[in-house]
Amino acid sequence: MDISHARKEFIISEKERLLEEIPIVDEECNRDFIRAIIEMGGGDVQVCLQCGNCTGVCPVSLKTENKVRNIIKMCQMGLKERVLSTPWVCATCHRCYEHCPAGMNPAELIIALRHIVVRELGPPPFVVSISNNVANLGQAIEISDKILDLRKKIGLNEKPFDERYRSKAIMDIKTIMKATGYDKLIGIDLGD
Amino acid sequence: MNSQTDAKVGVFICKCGANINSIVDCENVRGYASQLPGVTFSICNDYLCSPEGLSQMREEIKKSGATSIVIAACTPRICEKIFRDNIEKTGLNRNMLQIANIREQCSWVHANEPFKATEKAKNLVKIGVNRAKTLLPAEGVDVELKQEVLVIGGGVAGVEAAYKLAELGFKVHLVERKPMLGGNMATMFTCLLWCHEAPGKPQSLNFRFGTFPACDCSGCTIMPKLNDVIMHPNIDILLLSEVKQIVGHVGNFKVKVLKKPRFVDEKKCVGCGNCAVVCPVVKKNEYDYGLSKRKAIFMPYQQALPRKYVIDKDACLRLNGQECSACLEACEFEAPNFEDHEQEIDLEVGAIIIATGFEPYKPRIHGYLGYQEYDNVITIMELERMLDKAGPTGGIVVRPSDRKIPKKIAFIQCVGSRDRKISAGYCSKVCCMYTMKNAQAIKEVHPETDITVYYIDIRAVGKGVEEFFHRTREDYGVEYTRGRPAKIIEDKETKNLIVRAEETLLNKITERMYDLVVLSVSLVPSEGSQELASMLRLRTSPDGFIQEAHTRMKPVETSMEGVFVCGCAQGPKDVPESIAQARAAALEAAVLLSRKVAKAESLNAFIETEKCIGCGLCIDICPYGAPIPIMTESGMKMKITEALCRGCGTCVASCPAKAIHARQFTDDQIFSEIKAALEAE
Repeated sequence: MDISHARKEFIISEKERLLEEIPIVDEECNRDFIRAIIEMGGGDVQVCLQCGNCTGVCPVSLKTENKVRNIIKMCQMGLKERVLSTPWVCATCHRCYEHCPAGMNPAELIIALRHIVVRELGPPPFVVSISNNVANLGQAIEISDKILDLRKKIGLNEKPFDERYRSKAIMDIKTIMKATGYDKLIGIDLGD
Repeated sequence: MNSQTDAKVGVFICKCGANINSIVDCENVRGYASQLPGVTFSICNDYLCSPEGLSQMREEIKKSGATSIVIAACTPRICEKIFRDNIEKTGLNRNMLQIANIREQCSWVHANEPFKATEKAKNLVKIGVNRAKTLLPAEGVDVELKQEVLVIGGGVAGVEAAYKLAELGFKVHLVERKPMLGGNMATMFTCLLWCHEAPGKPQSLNFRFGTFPACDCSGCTIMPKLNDVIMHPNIDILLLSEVKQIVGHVGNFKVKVLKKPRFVDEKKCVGCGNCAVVCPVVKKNEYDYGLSKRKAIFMPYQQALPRKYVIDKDACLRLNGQECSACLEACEFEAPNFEDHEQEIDLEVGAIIIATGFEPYKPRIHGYLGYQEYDNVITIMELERMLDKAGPTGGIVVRPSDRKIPKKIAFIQCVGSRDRKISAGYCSKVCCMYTMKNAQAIKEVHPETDITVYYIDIRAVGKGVEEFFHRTREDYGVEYTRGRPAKIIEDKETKNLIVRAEETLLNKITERMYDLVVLSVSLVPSEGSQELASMLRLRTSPDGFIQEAHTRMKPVETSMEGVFVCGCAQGPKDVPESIAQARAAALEAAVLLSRKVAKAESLNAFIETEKCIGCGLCIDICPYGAPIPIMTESGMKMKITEALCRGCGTCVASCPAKAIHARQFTDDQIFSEIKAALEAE
């Protein structure tokens, strides 16, 4: 790596840029959080040896600041606020589970954390919009006019599905969402 | 089986200092017990198991003429034997004792509820008193102890135990499966390279390598011991042998050993090696983990003791029906013997020492670390063989792919250890240290080598071991990086290896290139040890190693009386610990056998011959092989060999004719307990 550039920037800058970190204190550590995770199906985080194998095999670890091992460590310490504010980038590919020597399932842990976030802080906007699409259109992504034009251009049917089956499927999806309480949890209006 | 109608029960209540008395009101219990029907006296003592407590117990028994005794104290697992021995001294039968557990099962578990705990203690004493009235006296059986010992396994632990027992004058049979003694320790042999002064090095570096932490050569350490054992008149060495069957009991085990043919006369062979020179068959040497080649007639490795050649039955042309007598023609002493055959040897021994040791874990073939898929991924045992001056590479570490000297080496710790996917997840205890030792050894020959150790935690415990770790990092400059590697990718052209891992202390993913990757594999129970454990009905711990009788107080005894365990058969450990344990096992066996005669506890079952229908169900069901059929005038009947019976009661429950009774658990005794337990106040 070329360090000269960084060095130069440091020399010409007016003062050193320092972080404003504060120590983690007892008030932040809530060990009851471990039990809450177990109840949500995330497994016992206390078995983790912090070996880092999960991060090593994780396909998104290079894209995130809080790597999966860090998330588990935060859970072990009960740093609920910090954990729940981490981004949702896990692809749930379960490679971490395949490799974990402690027999833990970090992917399931992430899913449990998502459950906790949605229940305590409400769903993030992208989850609401995707859920609305699934409930009303039967698919996660809305088909835009551009796609419809493109389909026509290359000689496909304008609509990629059979309307008769689709409306039946949407009815079923709505029934499932109502039965499981998903609509209320995410806050989507299914009509009647 | 009538209860004693005129029973006089004496009750002793132990306060165990504050252990019992701080929760249970012992004086209250004493007062309650003294009013129970049949109780002649009831006494409290601070520490009943102390010499003062025991002598008070004897005096009171003699004074009152009590016929049976109830002791309310700790679990029978701790002091039962002491108490039984003590009451026997007063002339009472040792079986006339009933223990009421008011510590573990009362004061300890009900520490928050002293009042209820006291009530429970009263109840337990009442139950005990009721049962004490129904106890039956019984005499133990005298068992003559055979003055011979079987040691299974010829590694460092087995050899040490055998030698110590032989020195004490016992006849020892040492059974080893391989054609040589010394086990795993003898294959770690880096002595020759290091027996010189290393110029320009600090004094602390000036040692030989082999075993940690002192780094003296393992060969130089074990060879004299092996020679002593081979020459010892009291030791009968059975190489290439396996234990096939063990029946019997403490003092009298009958053992069947299967001795496989060596096809070379041990008495004639001088180990010159002329035969191997002419032998036309070439095979990979499994004792060098495939790093070298051997012939069909071979010595496992150069320093193998005893120095006798052996013929591989599957590889030899002559033994597979072809015309060849090259080795026989080359041998001056006519040692090769193609007529050699399997022998079954019967032994009768008084005690057995299990020293079956460990095997290095074989990483899963085509597993994620690429062992046996990529040429340059090796295990630590292969590295040990390479570091052997007399080994396959002459003491130089090379890359198996191109035989070049590696410039960058990675060690990966905890391969097989601490992995709950493949075992109970135990720590193998020695891998951190053998990695340090081997990293130092490599650095000694090629100081320019870059060595990185990937670890999860370093467990450098024990005398001098932390200092050894310091030296590895400070004097030798070995780099330690914390993180369990995620995967290894091979560069197809150069055969170099890229190790991807998280450096957990930096929170960064690393991908670094190495010439050679060494897997620090775990220690697993050796092949066949599970069969041996089930043959002897020994308990094994969740990790698969043999479970000792008590983790603290009985470290070398097993669940079977007269069977002892030492070395890595009991769990992963280093050489000094194996030696210490081997000596402890030898001592225990010697203490047992030097009594010449032992008394078996009279906890046994007995059969009412009139009721027995001779169905033989008890024979099938008994885990100790105690019931035997006997022919009587009224047909086939069963009889219980008292010395074998452990009083488990399985036969009692299974007997369709209700002919079997456990001497300490007759229906009468159990119902009297239940009656007392359910009785309203």
